[in-house]
Amino acid sequence: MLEIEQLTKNYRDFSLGPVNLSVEAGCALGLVGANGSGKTTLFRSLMGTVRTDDGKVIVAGNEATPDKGGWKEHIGYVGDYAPFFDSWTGEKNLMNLGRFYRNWSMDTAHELASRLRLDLGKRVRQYSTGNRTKLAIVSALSRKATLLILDEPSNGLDPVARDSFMDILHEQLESGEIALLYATHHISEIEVLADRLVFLSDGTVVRDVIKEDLIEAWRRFTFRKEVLPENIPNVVSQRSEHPYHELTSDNGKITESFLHEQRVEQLESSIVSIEKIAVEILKSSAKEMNHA
Amino acid sequence: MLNSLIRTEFDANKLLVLIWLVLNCVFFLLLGSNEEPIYIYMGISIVNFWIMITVCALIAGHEKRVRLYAELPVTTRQSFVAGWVFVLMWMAMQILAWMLYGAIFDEEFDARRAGQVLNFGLGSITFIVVISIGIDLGAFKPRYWQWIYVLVMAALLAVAILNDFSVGLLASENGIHFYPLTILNNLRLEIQLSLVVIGVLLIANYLIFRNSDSYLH
Repeated sequence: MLEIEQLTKNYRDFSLGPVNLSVEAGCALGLVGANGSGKTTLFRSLMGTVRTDDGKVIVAGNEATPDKGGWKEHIGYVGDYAPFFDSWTGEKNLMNLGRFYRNWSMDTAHELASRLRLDLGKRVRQYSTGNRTKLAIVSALSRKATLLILDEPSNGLDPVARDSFMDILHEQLESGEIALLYATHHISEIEVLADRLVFLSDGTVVRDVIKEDLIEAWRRFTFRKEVLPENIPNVVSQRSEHPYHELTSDNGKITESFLHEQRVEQLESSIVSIEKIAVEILKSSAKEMNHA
Repeated sequence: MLNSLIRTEFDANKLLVLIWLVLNCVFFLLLGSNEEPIYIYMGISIVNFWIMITVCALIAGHEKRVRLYAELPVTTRQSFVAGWVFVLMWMAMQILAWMLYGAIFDEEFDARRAGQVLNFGLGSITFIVVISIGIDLGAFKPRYWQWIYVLVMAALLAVAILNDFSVGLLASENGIHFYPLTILNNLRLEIQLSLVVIGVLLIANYLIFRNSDSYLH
């Protein structure tokens, strides 16, 4: 559905890429990164709102170039800014957008607006930030796109709307025909939605992993030992309160085996949350970048 | 897609066109009560000035539409053409309106005066394209091109003023003068040259827009 090859974008003080990514239909990819890591630049590069310096983007078999517009018909995009005409009502904005998409459905638009509790009869200038986001979501989903690119889509949404939005996204993904690219700082959303995680740090993809593999591999250990053994493998963070210790490992099997060898007492292991994993990966990436 | 874009442009700017229509009607009515030709030119200047201000605002506010168009399944060229089709059609309507005023209220209105009105309108369009290029250069890499452009334009303007070229908005008592091309003293040639200049500037504007580093200024 989406192929990104060697995508590069250089600014004076920041460079993105080269990024290589491939997203198949049915895949929900969560893009995780700190502020300024390049998520929005990547999305803008995909949408063609910024000119890339190098690389190729292919959407549903069509190369993305400014000289062709057809490839955007396959994309539903919610960006950091919702470009609607303020003096028009939500309904009129959607009707206007409908002229540009062959698969556009106003029935779907009305249904989604109703589920998100969005009044389409109001002028956009009367909308709150959250309602503008809702309109952007309705617009992105009413065109029946096969690739959804969502950049912080739940920002400004109230908890009920966010819940409805998550339900809607789940339904969209159930068909298996849609690919999703989702960036947010709310890791809990990615935890629920994504089946693959890409970590972006300082413009570079530092990890591209299947979510289940991460959950399977990472473990938190607590144990009792008078002296903490040295050189414990795969430890990404540790905390000690003598004589108890807590470790987080990115390869639980190896770490556990080592701890057994060291004859630690009261060894217990537990699953690590995706949020914690994400934080640790981003922290270690930032450290590596600083060292480099 | 181009048709849909142009329709969107017209829909989005209905209010501006409406204000333009009202201003022109007021101007039309005021004109009927004054016999002095100078009022015609003053009125033309006021309406023209207002149009240029709003068009500049339109171009400056283009970012929002550009953001929207960037998401739509349209090409960069279609998005550029749609914006200019609207502005050019609007300016063409204004030029026609001026000719209509001239024909009704100016007893000395003849083919030459009509040509001057056309030339005046073309000068206004040139001015708008020049501003549009300046704005689009802001998104061009490297950024200093915009400053070079502003300095070159300011220098050209200074040279024109120092050499007593007619670059103002208002006409002299001998007729409507606008734009340095009036020095040629050949109206037909001036109009032809104006059209060529506008064409070249629009192509330059398109190339700058097409090769912008970012469509978000």
